[in-house]
Amino acid sequence: MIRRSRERSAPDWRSVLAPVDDGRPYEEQLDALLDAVRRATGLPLVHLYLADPDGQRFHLERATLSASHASDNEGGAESMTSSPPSELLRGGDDRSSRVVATPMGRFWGVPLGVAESISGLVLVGPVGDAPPPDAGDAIDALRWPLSLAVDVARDREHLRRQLAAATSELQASRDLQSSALEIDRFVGLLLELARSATRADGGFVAVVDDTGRLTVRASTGLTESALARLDLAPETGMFDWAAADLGGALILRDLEAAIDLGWSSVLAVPVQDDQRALGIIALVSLGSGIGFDTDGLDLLSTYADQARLMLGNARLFSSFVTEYLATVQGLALSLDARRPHTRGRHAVVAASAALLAEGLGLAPDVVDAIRIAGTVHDVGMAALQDDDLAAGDLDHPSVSAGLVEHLPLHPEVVRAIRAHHEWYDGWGFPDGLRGQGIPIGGRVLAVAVLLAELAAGDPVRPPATIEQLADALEVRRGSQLDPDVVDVALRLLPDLPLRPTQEA
Amino acid sequence: MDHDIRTERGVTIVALTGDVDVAQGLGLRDLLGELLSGPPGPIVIDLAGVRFLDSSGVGLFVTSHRRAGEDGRGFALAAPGDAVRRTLQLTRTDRILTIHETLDDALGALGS
Repeated sequence: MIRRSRERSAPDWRSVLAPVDDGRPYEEQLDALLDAVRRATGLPLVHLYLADPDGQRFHLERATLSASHASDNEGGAESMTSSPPSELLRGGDDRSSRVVATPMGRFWGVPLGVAESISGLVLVGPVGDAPPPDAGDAIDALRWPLSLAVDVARDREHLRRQLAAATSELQASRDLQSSALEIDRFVGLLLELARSATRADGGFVAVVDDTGRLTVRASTGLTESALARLDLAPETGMFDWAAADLGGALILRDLEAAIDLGWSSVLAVPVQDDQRALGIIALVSLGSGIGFDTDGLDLLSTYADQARLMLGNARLFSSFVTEYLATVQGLALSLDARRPHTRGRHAVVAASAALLAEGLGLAPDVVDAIRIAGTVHDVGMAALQDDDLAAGDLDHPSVSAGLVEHLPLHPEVVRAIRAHHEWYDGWGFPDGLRGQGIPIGGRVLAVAVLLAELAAGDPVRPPATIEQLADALEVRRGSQLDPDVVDVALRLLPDLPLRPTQEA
Repeated sequence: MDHDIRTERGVTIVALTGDVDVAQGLGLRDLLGELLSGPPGPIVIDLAGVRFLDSSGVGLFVTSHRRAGEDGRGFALAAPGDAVRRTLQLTRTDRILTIHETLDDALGALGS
C-alpha cells in the first residue's frame, strides 16, 4: 500500500505562479509547478500533458516522480509501469475532471484552460475510483492558477526559442561579414544554439573536407572517447549520406553503433547546397528519449540553412583567396624575372624570412604570415618602368600591401609588407616607424631582403660571401636592422637559402 | 513505441505509436525485417500515432523502402504528423520515400 504520510501543504495560488516569474529554465518551471501540485494533493505522481495543435491528443510535456514513491510502493499492492504514456487520445469528456486509466494505474485528470480551449491535462495519482476528497479539493483549487502558469511558461518558452533563432541569424550574419573563414567558431556557435533550442544532450557538426571525408569541426555534450569512436566514413560509417540513390538524404546506417554510444535518439541533418554535401549537423539525446517538437525542428532547419550559407560561402571565398593570392605571387615572379640578378628573389626572401621568424620563436601562424608577405613584398614595383626598378619607389611597400589588404589573411601579412623598408632607427619609409614600433614581420623581412640582395649581387656588385653578409648585418645592427633579428640571422646564416633554387 | 499490425484491402498496415528512435530501433528493425521476409504484398507504415521520429527510424524506413523495391513490393508511409513530416524534410528522405497524407490515400494507391 502507498503510505499517505508524506508532507502536505495547503494550496496557495501565489506559490504556484511564483516559479514562472523567476527566470528559471522552462523545464524547471514545470517541475516546480508539478511539485506544488504534489505537495498540495499528497499524491506522489504528477504528469503534465499539453494539447497538440490538431486537437486530437495530449502529449506528455513533463512528468515527476516523488523521491519517496519508490520506497512507498515496495508493498507492490498497486502495479505500475516505469513511465507514463507519451500521449493520450482526447475524448469528449476532457473538459471536466475525471478518472483516467493509464498503464501506470488510475489517475485523476484535471483539465487546464477554459471549456472552449482546453490547453492541457494534469494527471495526479495514483487514485482509485476517485481522488481522496481533500486531494480533489486541493487540485480543483489549483486548477486556474495552474492553467495560467502553464500557459505563461509555455508562451515564454516559445518566445525564447524564437529569440534564439533570431539571435542565431543575426550572429551568423555578423560572423559572415567579419570573418568568412572562421568556420569552426561559427559552426560551434550554431551547434550550441541548436542544442539549447532543442534541449538535446549533445551533438556535433561535421564538415566535408577536400578529400570528400567528414571531419568533426565542433561538438558539445559528447565525450572525447565518444567522438573518437564516431566513424563518419561515407561508405562504411555510422551515417549513410553518400549513396547515389539517397540524392543528398542522410540516414543513420549503424544502429548498433548509436546504441553502443549510449544514444537514445539522434537527429542528423544534411547540410547541402545544390551540387554537393557540405556537412551534417547531428543532435543527440542520451537519457530517456526526449523528442524534438515542431518548434525545435524548425529551429534546426534554420541552423542548417545558416550552416549551408556559411560553408558554401567559405568554400567559395577560400577558393577565391587562394586564386587571388596565386595571381599576385605570379606577378611578383614575373617582376623578378625581368632582371637576371633578381630571378627568384621573392621566393628566396620568403624562405629565409620564415626561417628567421622561426629562429625568433614566433608563433607558427605569424611565421606563415611572414612567409606569405615575403612572396609578394615588392610586387608594387611591377608598375614601374625598368629604368626605375633599380632606384625603387618610395610608395611600393604601400602599393604591395594594398594589393592584398582586403584578403582575410593574417594581419601580419599586410603589416610586414608595408614595413619591410622601415629602419630600426626611424629613418626608413613609408611611415618612419622605429624600434619595436615596427611590426615584427617588417623587421624580419628587412633582414631577409638585405641578405637576398647582397647574396645575389647586381650589375655593379658581385655576390657577397657569407663573411661579407655577416659584416653587412653587423654594420646595420641597430640602425637599419633590429639587433635581435640580426643575432638570429648571424646564427642561421650558413643555412639560410639565400640564392634561388633551379625551380625558382 | 507500440505497434499494431492489420491487413486491409490486401495491404499490411503497421500502425506505430510513440517515439521511433534509437531506443526503439532494434525492435522496429526486427518487426520490419519479419514483414519484408513474409508473404508478398504492399506494406504501409501508419505514422499518425508517432510523436517523434529520429534518424535511426528514418534509416530503417529507407532501408525497408530499398528492400521492398528490390522485391517488387510496395512500401509507403502514411499520415505523418507535423513533427514527423518536418524530420523527413530535414533529412531529405521525403524525396526518396513514398509518403501519403492519409492512410486512405495510401490504401487507395497500394490496395487491391
